[in-house]
Amino acid sequence: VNTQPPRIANWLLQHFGSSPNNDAVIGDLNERYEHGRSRVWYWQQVIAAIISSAFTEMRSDKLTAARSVVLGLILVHAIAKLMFNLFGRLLAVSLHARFVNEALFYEGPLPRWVFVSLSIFIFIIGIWSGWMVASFHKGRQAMVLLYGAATLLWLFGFAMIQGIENSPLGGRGHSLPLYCANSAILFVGIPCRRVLL
Amino acid sequence: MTKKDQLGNFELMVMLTLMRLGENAYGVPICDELEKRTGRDVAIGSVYAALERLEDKGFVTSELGEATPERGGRAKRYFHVTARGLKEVRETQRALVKLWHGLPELEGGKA
Repeated sequence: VNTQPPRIANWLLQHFGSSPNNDAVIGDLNERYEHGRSRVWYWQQVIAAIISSAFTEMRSDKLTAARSVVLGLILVHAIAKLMFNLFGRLLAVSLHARFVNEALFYEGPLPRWVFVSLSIFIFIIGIWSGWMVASFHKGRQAMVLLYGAATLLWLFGFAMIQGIENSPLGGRGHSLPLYCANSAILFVGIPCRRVLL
Repeated sequence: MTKKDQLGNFELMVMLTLMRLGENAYGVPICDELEKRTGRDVAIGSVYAALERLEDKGFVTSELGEATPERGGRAKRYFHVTARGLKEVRETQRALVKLWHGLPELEGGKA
């Protein structure tokens, strides 16, 4: 029987928990786990601890919370516009199209490298914006979590309102995973930054 | 006293548990006691969120304790009720008893 608490859950709480008593929370969870609690219980406790500590921090500083979302969305828009422009130009050259838009809304079958490189672009955008928001709010993971959640909502909202097929490369079944990947990578941005600092 | 300085329902439960536990009030016994007395599962994260709010209000103080191997080498954090906290609990008790008093639905312990 594995008596070690779930490693991933522990790692998540260590990096995403924003309580000033995060270490004590992890210690308490380990102690209760040692006393016979299940792995499912441990995961539930970790998720609840991350959410409640984030809400506590956001409620205590609503202005900073709002700023983190606005800043993140401005940054992600700016860099996405720039990178999609560059990407569009590359695509236009590759497909011998005259204009960027012509290439992005190209009706014909697109080569696989287009999807792969677009995914990489989106991943970079996600990491960069998550990193920037985290840098502006040092030691306040809740603000980056809020930004991540806001972006996730915004991306899914966009896809629901506009229709996935109306987004670039839409209608080919690739947009939704890309949106998900983008949001997921935002959450990776925080621990990456903490590890590297 | 502002609304922010008043005790919420869960905060009151946590305060009473701290008073009951005395010197041994850290995360694990607090949760165990709350679960035992209320018959409900409690999330450690929610208990800490309440304790941090109580500390901000000045009703509770905390200090770091010893680390043990079963805790993965992490220190315990002990919580104590302050004089101000005790006064607030008494005031809440008085207000609740006044509200309770004379309600036929609550007399005799039958639902």
